[in-house]
Amino acid sequence: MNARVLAIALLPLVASCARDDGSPDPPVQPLVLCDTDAGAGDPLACPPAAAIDASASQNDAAASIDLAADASPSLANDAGASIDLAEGGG
Amino acid sequence: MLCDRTPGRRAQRALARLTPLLSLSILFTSARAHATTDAVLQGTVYDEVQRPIEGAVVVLHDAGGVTVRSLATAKDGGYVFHGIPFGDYTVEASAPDRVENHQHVRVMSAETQTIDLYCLLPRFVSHVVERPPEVKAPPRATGSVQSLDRAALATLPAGEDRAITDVLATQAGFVGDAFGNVYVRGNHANVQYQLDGVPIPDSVGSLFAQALPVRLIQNLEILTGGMPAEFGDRLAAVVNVSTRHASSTPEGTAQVRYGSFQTVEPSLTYSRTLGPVGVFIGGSVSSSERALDAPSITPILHDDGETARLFLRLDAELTPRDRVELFASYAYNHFQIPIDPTVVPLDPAHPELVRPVDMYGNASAPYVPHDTDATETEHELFATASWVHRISERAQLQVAPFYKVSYGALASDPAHALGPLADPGATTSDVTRRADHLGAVLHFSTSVGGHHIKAGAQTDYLLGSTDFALYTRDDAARAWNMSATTPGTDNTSAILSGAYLQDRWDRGPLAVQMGVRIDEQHVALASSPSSDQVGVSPRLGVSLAATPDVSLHAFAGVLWQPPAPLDAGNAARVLGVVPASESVPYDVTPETDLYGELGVDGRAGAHLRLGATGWGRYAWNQLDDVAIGATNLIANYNFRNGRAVGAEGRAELVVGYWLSAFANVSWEIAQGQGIASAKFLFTPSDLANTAWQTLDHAQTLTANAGATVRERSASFTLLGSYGSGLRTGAGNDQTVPAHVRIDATLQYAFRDVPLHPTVAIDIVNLLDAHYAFRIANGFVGSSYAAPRSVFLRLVFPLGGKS
Repeated sequence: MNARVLAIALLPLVASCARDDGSPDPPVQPLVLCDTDAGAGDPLACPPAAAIDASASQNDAAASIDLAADASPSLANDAGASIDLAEGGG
Repeated sequence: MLCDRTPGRRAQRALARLTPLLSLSILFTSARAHATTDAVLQGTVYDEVQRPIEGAVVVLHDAGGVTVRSLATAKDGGYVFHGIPFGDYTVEASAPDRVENHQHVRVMSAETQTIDLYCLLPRFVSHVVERPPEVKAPPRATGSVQSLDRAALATLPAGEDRAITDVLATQAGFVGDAFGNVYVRGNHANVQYQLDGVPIPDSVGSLFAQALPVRLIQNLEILTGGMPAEFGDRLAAVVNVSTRHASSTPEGTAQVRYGSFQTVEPSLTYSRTLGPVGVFIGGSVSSSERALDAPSITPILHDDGETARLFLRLDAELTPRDRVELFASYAYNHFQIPIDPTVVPLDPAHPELVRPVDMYGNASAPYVPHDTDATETEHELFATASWVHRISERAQLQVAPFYKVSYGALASDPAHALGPLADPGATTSDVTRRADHLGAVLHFSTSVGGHHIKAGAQTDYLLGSTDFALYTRDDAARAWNMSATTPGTDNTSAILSGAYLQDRWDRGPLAVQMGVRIDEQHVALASSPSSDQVGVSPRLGVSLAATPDVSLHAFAGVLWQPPAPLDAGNAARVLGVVPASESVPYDVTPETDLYGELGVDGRAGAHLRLGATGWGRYAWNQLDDVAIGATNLIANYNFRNGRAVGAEGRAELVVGYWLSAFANVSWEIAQGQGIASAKFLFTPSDLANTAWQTLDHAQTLTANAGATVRERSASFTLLGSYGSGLRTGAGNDQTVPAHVRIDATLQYAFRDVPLHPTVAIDIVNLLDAHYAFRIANGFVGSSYAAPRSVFLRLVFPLGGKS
């Protein structure tokens, strides 16, 4: 009987420990300036010009970067929405 | 529980005189290796002055109360039960006009237990004493053996819904990783699962889930070192499962689990006997919004999953000498491949901006557009039939053919994965794999004097095929370039065969386990010449019962482990590192280890058992695995050499019915030197590195502790684990942060309400620790453990008992 009382008493505690998703963990990794001195194979090496997608407009890019970099929980939890918006700009 | 009859005063005097003899008989308790899932239980039935009783009836019951076998004692009062599965038993003796006596005993496959029983005249029995449970005596095996029974499994958080790999990860020598992977004593993968003596072949999707359901297990035996010669090929650990079977009355459970991440898992087990046939069926289905260990703790993107498990076991005693068992299981998994929300797309307008390296120097994972719907679907069917024939009271034969088909399909959704926000030059792959295994095992065992001799053979024919399609991106169109798809098919066939001979010789407190096995793997690839590889593995182990409660063991031997050939050619094709016009070289070779260990295991009183083991190995052609890009392909490669050393400490505490607890700590170093095969997988700088490097699946320090408190219908279990962190960094020269995780479960059986439900609350990661299994070197880049999660289980017993 004591155990049953204990179990009932623990129920509110259990209910309260369900985790509410908060800020992104680990944090979003914003882009950084490439290293002109870095050699080939270095992840910080500057990409060759040929690899750049020349067809993208500056507005498209700005929209996609702004949205992806926005790490607010509501937006990050709604990935589909962020993609739709980014693609819509193109 | 041990039930003793306390003798009267006269008998007490007689027994007092016999105490030295009794001690001696315990000291001489032998520990003999026998069949993989067969053990030997023997002893003598005595009267009150230790005269043997001829014709006493000795009955062996399993943990469920089912009568396994019975016999009458011989002229010398002796009895021997040969060929019983390892596990927990009650052995009961009765004789006319005498009080029945019984003992509970745990028998392991690596030993023979001797249990002497006393059947006294009623006048010598003053009263009955119920002795509470005590910690089990140390095993007398010549290697490292740990065991768990069904009752212990049921008290763990998540109960029988807990993945078997999560159970293994609590044992000494095991390191847990993402996706349920476990590594043992510095080995990568290579864990052999066996069901009632039949080895289960590899799965193609073993990255994701081990399909063996815990609710199928009656007893679990885990060998992590010093394996006898009967075990071959995959020797990081052997997980021996003795399956549940039908009891004399119908029984079962119906359960539903619900909790965090919208996890729902209904399950059912039921067993009964139908005439001479025992039937045990079970199954479960589950769905969750967090199916795999994702690249972030929160938010979790694209991580839904569903699973299904079904199994059926039939067994029948056709004649007093012939027993057959049919077993079949089916597993289904469907997972979304999780997306890392921390990675942002590149900015075409600002090509000077690149993704950062992390604090360990790791490059970022590529960006996966968030509308990508990549999925993995797996089907697996395993069936075996086992026939055990008792040739005589001291010899038996087991023949077991088996078949397994394993199918895995990774769909990468190239239309979205290579869409506008994807990285320039991005690629992705669909991979479909099917592997058919057809094989058989044969074991023969016999006892001659103090020798228990065992011989056997096994073969496994693999027919595998992999279809893949490599997709590329048209960077100008910012879309999938459908015309540039590179499809392909690789076919692999292989035959893995082995034979062994071993002898366990017991002489007093000393036992010597010696054996040798020979294995051969023939691999035929469509794209390269066939390969034949042979290994010979002599092994020697010694066990010494220094006192009735202290056992020492030593082992030295050769372990030969062949590579997994299924994905050998696929890695090069998927990565595009070998031109399509050229054949992929198959140069992966078997690993040969020189392995040794020393151990001590002892009981300090009735409640506490302590153990320690030190081990080490040196390897030639050490095998390791590498995951291929964003696929579930695992490719083997060899280091030229390998070395590993470790030490483990264990403690187990049992105090009456109300408390049981365990703790273990493992320390290990595992290194490899010089990449020697499958060089197309590596960069020139990787290949130029000939220094010793720590393996990415080695964790220096791992500790586990758990305790269960019981009070009538309630139990509370707390499980804690510590890991110093797996390796990360470009050269595996750093570790991810250490972590502490605590799981808890509270169960209560409502016996006085309708349907008699048991309610359980499981809290996983009680302290909400945020930690990574992997950072930047896993299948999805990084993999993080789940944050605090709560689950509720409702369990309803069916039939006579649950």
